[in-house]
Amino acid sequence: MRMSLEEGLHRFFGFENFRPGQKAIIEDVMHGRDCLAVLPTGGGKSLLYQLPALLSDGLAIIVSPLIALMEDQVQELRAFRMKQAVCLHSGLSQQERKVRLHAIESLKLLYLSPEMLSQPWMQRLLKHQKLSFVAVDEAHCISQWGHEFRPDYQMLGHVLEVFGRPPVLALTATATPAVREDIYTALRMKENARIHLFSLDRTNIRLFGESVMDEKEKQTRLFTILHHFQRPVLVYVMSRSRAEALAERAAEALNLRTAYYHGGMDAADRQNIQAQFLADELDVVICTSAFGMGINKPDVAAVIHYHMPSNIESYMQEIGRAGRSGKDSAAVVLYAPGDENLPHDMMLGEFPPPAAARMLLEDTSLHGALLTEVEKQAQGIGLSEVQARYVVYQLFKAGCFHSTNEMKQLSRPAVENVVRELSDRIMKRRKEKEAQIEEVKAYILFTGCRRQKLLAHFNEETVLQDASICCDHCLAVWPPGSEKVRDREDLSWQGRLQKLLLPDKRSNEKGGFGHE
Amino acid sequence: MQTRFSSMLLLHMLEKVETFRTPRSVYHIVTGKRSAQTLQDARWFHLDHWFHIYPHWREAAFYTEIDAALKTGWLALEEEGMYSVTPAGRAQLQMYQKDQPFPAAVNGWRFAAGSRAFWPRLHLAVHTLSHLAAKETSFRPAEGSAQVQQYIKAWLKGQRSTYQELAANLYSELERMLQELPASSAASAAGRLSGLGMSGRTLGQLAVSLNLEEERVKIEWLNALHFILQTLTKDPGDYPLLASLAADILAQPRLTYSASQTYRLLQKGMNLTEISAHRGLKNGTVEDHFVEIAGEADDFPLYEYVSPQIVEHVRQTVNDLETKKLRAVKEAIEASGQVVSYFQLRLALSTGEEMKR
Repeated sequence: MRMSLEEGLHRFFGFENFRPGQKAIIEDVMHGRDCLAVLPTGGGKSLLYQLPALLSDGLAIIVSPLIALMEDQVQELRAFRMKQAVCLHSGLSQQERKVRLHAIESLKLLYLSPEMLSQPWMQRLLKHQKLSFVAVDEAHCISQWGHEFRPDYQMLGHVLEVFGRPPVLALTATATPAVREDIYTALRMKENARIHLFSLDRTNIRLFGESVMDEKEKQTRLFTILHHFQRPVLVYVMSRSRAEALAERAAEALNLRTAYYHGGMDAADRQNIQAQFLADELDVVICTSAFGMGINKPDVAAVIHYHMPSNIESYMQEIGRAGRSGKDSAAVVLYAPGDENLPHDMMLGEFPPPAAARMLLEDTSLHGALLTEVEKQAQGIGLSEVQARYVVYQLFKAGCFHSTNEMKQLSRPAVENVVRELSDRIMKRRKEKEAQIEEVKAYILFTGCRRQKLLAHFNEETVLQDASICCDHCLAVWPPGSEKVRDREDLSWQGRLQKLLLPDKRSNEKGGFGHE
Repeated sequence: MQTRFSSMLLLHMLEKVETFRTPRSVYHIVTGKRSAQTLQDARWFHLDHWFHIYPHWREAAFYTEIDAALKTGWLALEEEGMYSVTPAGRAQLQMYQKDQPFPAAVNGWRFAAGSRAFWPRLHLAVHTLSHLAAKETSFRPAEGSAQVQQYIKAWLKGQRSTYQELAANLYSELERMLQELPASSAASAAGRLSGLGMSGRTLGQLAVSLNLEEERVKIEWLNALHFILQTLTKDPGDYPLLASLAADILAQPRLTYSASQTYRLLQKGMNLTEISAHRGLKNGTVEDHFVEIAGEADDFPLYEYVSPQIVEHVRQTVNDLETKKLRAVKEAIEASGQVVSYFQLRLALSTGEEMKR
């Protein structure tokens, strides 16, 4: 007989009770129903597929675009002795993939990046497995309306058919009605599919916005906030160099343990910063949007946006990292006139010049070339990775490829037609993104209730009654809190080795070295 | 890249190759190209310790650095794409070396690949024992690769002591080992280790506390790893735990694929002509392999191909003439009445230089 859901929850995860709403979704998944679940970050998303996967016969596929997040979840499961979970992505060597897939018959969860799932060998392998269901994490990436559109997600609907269309669980933290519609269609969800919507209103996060005169004043304001209020704090900035520079200045100006984090750092360093942050060894992390996904730290006291994000969805997602334990916390966005130029310039850089399409289509050496080769060549002619992916996907959608994913040879007029359409599409998309940036600016400069304004974007209303914990315009004050102050740790190398390997030394020490 | 260390290393290497080689050959050495020419260059110009230490360096970035050195006046363009280090460049290099001598134990030739395999094992061994010794049995492994995890699991199973004893022994071996190194190397290696209640520190954080540039921290860390592997080759008995973590890594001589095929046949007792015939290769190709093998494997039958007298004579001549030009060496030897082929010359020069630096 199968274990009950509660038994499983207790046995595998050590929890006594489900959080509100979790059980209904898990039951749907166990019954093989298609589901779309929209729930805020920190809402216990991963349990929704982990538990059914462990309780069901067969293999559950988890598709996620975030390699670090997948690796993280698998490590966590394995740390708690659930060894039937494995993660595969293109960053692994052939040998490593082989080791990981060695016992595929006994696996319960297989985490895959979307590009891994589109590999023919992977599809052949999976065709012979009994699949319990497929969970699509960060499902908003499927939609062009979403803020993190990923072309490889669009192929998912097709890929699922190859496996005889197992039940699908689509998950996302942010989805406007238009995005939800896209997810529904793209994943070819069944008629009787359920939609589980949770309120995105994080009532324990107080919302603040501040305008300052200029960069200098903004920095002063940031340092004042960091100095006076409780920690740990995440500070989001738009550029890598700014993250580094600000972290350096903050470390000089404040007696706080400060670090920076961005996608350009080496993988071991990024992992170290995450680990230090989780282990309360840092007070402030100044980071780009690369930080945060998959990092589940319950006690983040505040999320401060030093630069405005590019859209409201990103903002919701990023501030959602505050107060996950349910404690009072704060989200602050700082604004100086002209700040909108940053996301604006960045957005312009995402689009390729339309002429790039012409260069690719008229390159005779590419006729008959595979999609991936064309993408490589697109980078060869000077496009960035993002631009290359975009242009090739658009060519794909415009029918410039055979069904075998090989590029067609088009006539001159046909090429011009494609280029013109691409140009129109880019203009349209630019306008949309400009409107999104304007929307963020409007939110920051808004003088009414910030919570109402944010939630209105998702067609929601707040349930919060207490104005004193809502937002600056409702006259909320910063949540009080105790400062965690620890000494800066700068051990000799001998000291480090001792603490690492001689547990007796560790516990004999004054103050102890507690297990986190 | 453009760090102080990398630009100084570049000057150092270009100084060594003088005007006999273009910067491209230096590029091939630091990125670890395994061609007969590069392998030979690395040995020839005593640049083997820097072999393969920047495997990911892009060619364009490398030349940007050359251009920068040219603009600053540290390098001068000579004929045929060769460069020479200017007096100003030499002065810079000396100043840097005086302040921060290049780490002495880095030996990319022998350990670049080995240290890449060894570090994750060492890190995971420390991390795992750090938890197990404190009776913490649920934790996330610090290294994500399943291969490494399986390796450490098997390694732990093969040990007979308790976890506390193992951790204490590993501590004492590491402590003794790192003691032999400059403090910056020891701190860089210990700093990047992690375990219970202690995360690893980033290069940037170590750079701040050691007052070094990040790139230099990385090199100091590498220095420590190469030193450990070097010591383990010499005295494995003094460090049984560390040696057991590195045993299979240190066992194999590192050769290009084709040369390793030749090596296998050589070990079966075939000679040069037999090998060429058996593999359907030109004699010259197999000669290239022999030169590579001679420099790498201790059991190469050197004296079957060149007499000890000639080996000595060749080395002497190179020292006297202060040249690396094969033709000049050959002419000098032949002027003294001995006959020597280019193959013999290269063999003579490929071995026995290890300790001289």
